[in-house]
Amino acid sequence: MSKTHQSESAFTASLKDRLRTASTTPQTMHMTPPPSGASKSLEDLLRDDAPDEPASVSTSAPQPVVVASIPAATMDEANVVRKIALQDIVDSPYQPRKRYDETRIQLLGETLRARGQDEAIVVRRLPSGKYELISGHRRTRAARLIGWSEIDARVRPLSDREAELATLTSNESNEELSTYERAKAYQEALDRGFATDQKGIASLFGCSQGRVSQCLSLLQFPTPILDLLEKYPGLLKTRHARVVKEILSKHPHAIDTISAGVEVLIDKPEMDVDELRTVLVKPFEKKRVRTKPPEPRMITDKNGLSAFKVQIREREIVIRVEEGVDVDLASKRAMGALREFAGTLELSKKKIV
Amino acid sequence: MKRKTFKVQAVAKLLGISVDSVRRDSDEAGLEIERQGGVGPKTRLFTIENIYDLAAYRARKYGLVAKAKRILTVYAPKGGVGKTTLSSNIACILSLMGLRVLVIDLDFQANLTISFGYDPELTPDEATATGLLVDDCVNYHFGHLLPQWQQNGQTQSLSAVIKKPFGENGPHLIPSEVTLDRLEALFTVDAIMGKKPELAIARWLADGRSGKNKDLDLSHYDVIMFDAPPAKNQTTRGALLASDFVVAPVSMERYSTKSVSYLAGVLGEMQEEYGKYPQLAILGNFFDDSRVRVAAQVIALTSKYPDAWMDKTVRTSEEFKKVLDDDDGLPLALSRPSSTPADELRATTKELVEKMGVLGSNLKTDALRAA
Repeated sequence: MSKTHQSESAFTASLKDRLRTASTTPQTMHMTPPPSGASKSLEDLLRDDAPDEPASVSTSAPQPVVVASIPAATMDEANVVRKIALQDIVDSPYQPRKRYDETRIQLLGETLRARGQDEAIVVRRLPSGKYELISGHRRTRAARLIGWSEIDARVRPLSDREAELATLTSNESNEELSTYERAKAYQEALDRGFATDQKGIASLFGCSQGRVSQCLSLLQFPTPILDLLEKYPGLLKTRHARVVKEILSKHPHAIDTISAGVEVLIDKPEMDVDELRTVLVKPFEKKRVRTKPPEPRMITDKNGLSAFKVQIREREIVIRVEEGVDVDLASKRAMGALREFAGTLELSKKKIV
Repeated sequence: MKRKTFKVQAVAKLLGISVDSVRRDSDEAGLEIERQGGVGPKTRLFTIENIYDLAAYRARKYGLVAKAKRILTVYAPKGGVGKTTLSSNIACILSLMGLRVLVIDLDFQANLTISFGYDPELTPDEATATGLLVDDCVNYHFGHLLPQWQQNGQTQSLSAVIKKPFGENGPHLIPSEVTLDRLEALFTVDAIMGKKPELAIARWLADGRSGKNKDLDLSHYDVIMFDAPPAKNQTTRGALLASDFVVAPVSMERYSTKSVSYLAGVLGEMQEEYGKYPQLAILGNFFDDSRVRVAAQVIALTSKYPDAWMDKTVRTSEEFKKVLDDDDGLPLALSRPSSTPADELRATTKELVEKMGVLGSNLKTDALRAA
């Protein structure tokens, strides 16, 4: 290494490259990824395990075998419900939902197991032979979870564009999407020209225009907050969003501070509006500086003994007269001195309140 | 066993509060604290029990309530990465924070048990002969609490098994001794009979936490910790499946990095089979930020497990070895409160508490500390 000193941060930054070049053998140790997604509670684990055996027997038995060769779907067949192998079903790329609540999927799975499937999912045939989901992302997951191999489905002959619109709108009425996920769906519909304004969106998705504008306003937030929402789509409820917006408009340059404040919602999603406001405003509050009152000044007699103690407060002079000094005389002298001083002043006329 | 005593300054360091708070609160709590004898100032001399009583008093005084109760396993399939040392220290520090902690030794080598001052090979006769208490012997271990061990008969009550090395308010311990490894054989029998032994620990915990079983009441513990042996067997799988979090220490070399990958594989299987798995937290132990070899492992781990990597690390220190020679049954975090490793262990534990969401927002704890 050269003798000139590299800065600590520059050195640290260079480490990565150094390692890459230093190692002669490529660092290709296989590393298994950890699981992601929600995990059950201990109690759910034991509850789910208990009735496992009898239930699975009853559901797996009466499932009919599906015929392997599937004819191309036509419009007539679009309403025919048939069984499709779950392994042939793929997610829609247009799906606005970002996260699937594991426990709700499990509940749905239990319902499927107990009652069977009420409503067929909707898919379209892809050129690859797979089926792309239009609606039924959650049911498909639930069915996989409880170990089904097939699911009831309607196969619709849809173009890419039709599929996109159908997927975007199919979620509106179902399991609630977060405000942010809705906003993304609405924005997507606008961008892709399915509607030209908020009114169009409202009629397309079958909801009020107020809701559309409320959701879309979420996308106006600065990037750090949008990044947060991308990770935690359910982070900001409408009422939370209003508070954040209000604080942002007061402190437009403190975006990072505010977005750091918003992060508390990750741990405390149930926080109410006032609590959130307190957290967000806190960094902007001025620290109260407590000024010490100045020490009283001493006026001494000839021998250096204290005769008066003078304390000056904001617009007050307090004179403490020590024992043995004539108070009357002292006050007359003091008044006299003040009068003399006042005679040299010229004050502007005070407003009468 | 004669343990060292602590002066006010050491107590303040251990509890993370000021010397004045220590004096005030220990007076308020009415703790009986010994005073230094001889001439000169009569300084207070705290026993470790006094300190935990004080921690518990402060927790009550400032209304410290665990927001969530958590089960935690300290585990890595690789041996020698510091699992036991970290377990005993983390348990002690959690307890100093005012949390109620139970730590369970799952390793027949019983190093965790030894770290709290017990000799698992001491027999009651030997104890009486050498003037020790029978309570210092390890008569029962975790196996005795499970139906498998007792051939599905009556299990031992928790109170017969549990040890309280630092008093009621310190961490509680379910000790281990050499015969604990037979539990694995019993689990294997269960496996052959199709009884899902990996759920045994989960069942035991659910039963204990429900508070309905008076012989096994775990409902008051804020954190239950397992110190798991470096094996990939039914016992460790059972502890992992029951846990909310798994702390995997890595010793910053290639083999231990690889062991995290094995662990991730085990967790993946669990998610597939049961939909339940503990969240992974990787803790850099024997850390040394000046070594390229260490940096290489950090990059390997953080690029693959960015969410799991813990920011706080524990560096190599001779202090850990010196503590073992003290032989007074105090983990480092207690016996050397002002040492660098103790600082690092406290910071690590604090990060872990936040990660596990035990105390909710850290505003409250900060307020408590500042008081």
